[in-house]
Amino acid sequence: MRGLLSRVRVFWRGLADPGRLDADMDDEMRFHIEMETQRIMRVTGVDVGEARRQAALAFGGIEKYRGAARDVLGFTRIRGLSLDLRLGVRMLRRSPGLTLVAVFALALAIGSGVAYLEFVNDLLHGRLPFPQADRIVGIQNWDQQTGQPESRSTADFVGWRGSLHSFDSLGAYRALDRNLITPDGRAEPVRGVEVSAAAFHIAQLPPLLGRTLELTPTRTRRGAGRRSAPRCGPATKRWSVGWRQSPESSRSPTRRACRA
Amino acid sequence: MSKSADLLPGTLDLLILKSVSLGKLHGYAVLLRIEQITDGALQIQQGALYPALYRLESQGLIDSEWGTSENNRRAKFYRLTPAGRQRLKEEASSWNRLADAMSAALRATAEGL
Repeated sequence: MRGLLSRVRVFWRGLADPGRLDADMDDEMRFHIEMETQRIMRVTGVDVGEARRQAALAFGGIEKYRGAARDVLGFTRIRGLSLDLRLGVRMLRRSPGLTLVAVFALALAIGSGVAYLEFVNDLLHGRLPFPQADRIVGIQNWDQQTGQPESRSTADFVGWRGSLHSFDSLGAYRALDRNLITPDGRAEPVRGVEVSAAAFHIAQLPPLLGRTLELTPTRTRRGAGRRSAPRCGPATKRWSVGWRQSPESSRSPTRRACRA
Repeated sequence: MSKSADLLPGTLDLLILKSVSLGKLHGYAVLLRIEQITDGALQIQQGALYPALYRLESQGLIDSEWGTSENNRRAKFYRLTPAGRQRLKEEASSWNRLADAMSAALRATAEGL
């Protein structure tokens, strides 16, 4: 933290007054050469001109190391960017017509790009028919080696539910196939899903039949599993076509089929 | 005086930290102190000292302030920060381990293996 503060302080000092930073570097390096000049004169007895030449040679060039110091502090890139911006603004001010056309073209391109992406996104993914559907996200593990989705156990789900605090609610589901016995005695395979109790809370929709599962962990109590046994019902389309949306027509046969 | 050797990459920062750990110094005095504590055995390009000093300052390992030198000239003085002291300790320990390992490796003989 202290290192970050120091870095920000040094960077800000150089950014706020770049001329001062350069002047300070210049002073410091000239001081170094001056001190080295005096030392060479003391040790070798050469005149001041020769001593200064040797000192400058030993130093290696003020401008070179001033540039290296600017690079170290990150000012070279900032100054380059600042120069580009200044040149760009100057050019745009010189040609206001071109500026207007450029701004209009950019606005049009960005707007149409966003609209197109929104359209494609809606077309490809659609929207879930639930309230606040844009706040519902799916979590799917993916096996990178096989390129296939990877199933997770209930223990993983319970672990996620305990550790993911950025979600209001977390539910799980899995697809399943069952044989459905219709009121007229026919049996046909149907595909459905098993969901955890939170799925109803996430969907925020009342069930067409029966009641929803409870969010409280009643299954851990003795005998509670029977009282809060998962209910299930047919999908809306199946219910409409097969039973003409009659509550009477989808009672016991459906439940038996689900438990099969 | 022994023959000068080239500085290994990364060792200049360590030498600067060590020098300023012995007292507040301006840039030129850092160079003299390095020459003094290494007995002049290491060859340092003098100008290269300054980018290293600015880098260490921007990392918060050393701090600086302007003052007056021994010959009444305006000079920038550097001193070690607590973070720099900690880094110096870690780097010195790491360097000593490496030096011991290299020394042991170079002393090895076929009979001793």
